[in-house]
Parts: sequence; C-alpha cells; structure tokens
Amino acid sequence: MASDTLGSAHGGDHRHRGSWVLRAGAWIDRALTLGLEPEERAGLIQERGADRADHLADCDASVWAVAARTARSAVADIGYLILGGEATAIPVAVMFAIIGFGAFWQASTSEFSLFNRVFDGTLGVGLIAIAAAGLRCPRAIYRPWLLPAAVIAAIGTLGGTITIPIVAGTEIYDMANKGALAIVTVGFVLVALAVVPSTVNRTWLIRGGAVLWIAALGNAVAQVGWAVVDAGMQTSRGASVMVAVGCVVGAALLGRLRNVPVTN
Amino acid sequence: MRRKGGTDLVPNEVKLLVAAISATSSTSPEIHGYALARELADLEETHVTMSQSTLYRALRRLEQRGALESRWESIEEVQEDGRDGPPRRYYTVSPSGVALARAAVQSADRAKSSNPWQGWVPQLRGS
Repeated sequence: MASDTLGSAHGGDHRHRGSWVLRAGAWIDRALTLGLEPEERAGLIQERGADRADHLADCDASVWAVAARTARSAVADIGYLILGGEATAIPVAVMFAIIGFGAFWQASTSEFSLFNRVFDGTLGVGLIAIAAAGLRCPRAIYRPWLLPAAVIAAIGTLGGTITIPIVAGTEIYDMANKGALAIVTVGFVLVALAVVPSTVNRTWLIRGGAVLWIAALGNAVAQVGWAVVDAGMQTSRGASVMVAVGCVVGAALLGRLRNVPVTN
Repeated sequence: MRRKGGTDLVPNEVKLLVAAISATSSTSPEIHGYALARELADLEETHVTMSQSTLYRALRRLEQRGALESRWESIEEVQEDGRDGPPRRYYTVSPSGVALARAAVQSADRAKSSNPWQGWVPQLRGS
C-alpha cells in the first residue's frame, strides 16, 4: 500500500472546520455528473470526495484553497458539459468571427476618421483570420495562419488605439475603448510571440489570452456604453453589441485552448 | 480525442505521467489523486493544484490508454491509516506508461534543441 503524509489523521481538526466544503463539493459533483453511467458517476464522486478530504487534511492548504479548487473544478465541469470533453478551438473561433464581423460593421458605419475605419477593418481581417485558423484546424493551434492573423489584429488594434477620437458626451466610453484596445494590442503581440517557436510557448499563449480576456471585458463595457448612450452612432449600435457579446463569451472560452495540440 | 503526432498525449497527460513516475518508487509504487496533484504542483513550483475535474478526466484517459493502472483502497486500509475520509483510488504507472512518458520527454527535448529561428517563418502546409 502506498504510504504518504498527505491526508493522514493529523488533519482531523482542519477537516472538521472545513466539513461544509466537503458537503458542498459532494453536492456540486452530484449535480454536474448527472447523465453519466451510474457506476462511473459513483466512482467519480467518491474519488473527488477522497481528494477533497485529502486536500483539507493537508497542513499546507487552507479551507479557502480547497473551496477555490472546488469552484475551479465546477467551472471546468460546466465547460465540459457545454462543450464536450475534447479540447477544440471551434467555439473560440466562432466568437472571434463574430467580433471580426462586428469590427467590419463598425468600419463601414462609424462616423470616425477614415484612418480609424481602415484600422477597424484591419482588425476585422485579423480576427476573421484567427477564426479561420481555428475552423481550419479545430483540434490544433494552427500556427501558419494564427501567427500572421495575430500580427494583423495587433496592427489593427494599435491603429485603433491611436486614431480613436475622444468625443464630447461619450468621453468615458471612448477612453475605455482606447485603453482596452491598447491592452488588446499587448495581448495579440504576446499571442504572436508565443506561436513564433514551432513548439508554441503555451505559458505565454495563456498569458496573452489572459490579457485579451481582461481587455475584452473592458472593451465590452465601452461598446455597450456606446450602444446605449451615443445617439449619433445608432447605425453601429448593433455592431457594438455584437463586439461586446463576442468579447465576453470569446474571452471566457480562451482557457479551453491550453490543451489543444500544435500543428505546423 | 483526435491527437496529432508524437506520443499522442496532451500536455496535462504528459505532466501527470511524469509526476506519477517521479513520485512513485519500487517500495511505494502507488499514488492517489491528490498526492499526484501536489507532486505536480511541486514540480512546477506553483501553489495552484490541478482541479479535480481536469485531474481525474486526464487520469481516466491515461488509464484507458494503458499508461496507468488503478485499484480502490479497501475499508480496512482506510481504518489502518487512521483516516475518516472515503477510500482513495490508487494509481500505478504501467511499463507502457513509462515508455510513453520517456517518448514524450524525448520529443520535447528534441523540439527545444531544434533551430530557434525555424519558427520565425510560418510553414504553409496542411495539417
């Protein structure tokens, strides 16, 4: 039998304090494993319960660390329920395509300068190329298309950051969009650098994705603000909403890419 | 899951297999899930342990591929250990698991030692 010091009796008091985590975790596991074969489900619930008890008995771990890990596990389970057990780039690619069409829509209806509209269009090209890379090779990170696509998107967002005007009445949303686009540029540059090596630097790919996620949420706020407040841009309200929805959902899906293999 | 080339293992599976080999020995050839997650966190020098969902799905896949074998702990063993939690599932790395891990590590080493400038030019060829 295996011997180890993790999860042994010394963690009894600790475990007593965190018994609510064990109960909550068990209920979450039961809820999120409905539909599995009964034998498989029972084994899975028991194994996760034992894991949580061991984690709680671990002197290095706090009750909150166990709770946070349980919450992360639940989020991952929900992702598996919605998207299936396989790592795939299709949902992310669809969201990038939606944002890309939104960027084109904004380029064609915006009242901003020609330069700004050209950069919006450039961003649209980059985003749709990223989407095409995902759809072309949904079970892999398709470097030959992803690298140039990320570079084009970065050029588009950098240009957008520089050329977007600050207009009276929507200053706060203009500023938010400018800031978010600047951060998005950094995110795309990180993604591009991560896919430069043929093996793909996954650490930097995830960091780039995290930066995009943060920026996308900021951009979504700006886009919703524009859609609601700016009467002068009514023609592109739909585009703003489309970009906002794409940003939020697409950002939430980026983490799914961490286990996708590489194709050169 | 369709995979491409090499050992056919995704990164999390390789990491878990390497951690399992690192943590087990001839005197203690078995390891349970949480201990494996801790070993992996130690190897990666992080405080964040892999979530149960990701961990046990990866272990199931490794077991289905024959890289790992498992058994449930008996109630007597739980009592002998002085624990009051549910029985654990213990994993052993199989000989084919050792071979898979070795191949995956060699493949990663080869990729690292390849020409670092090679990747600067995208190669437009199909998957």
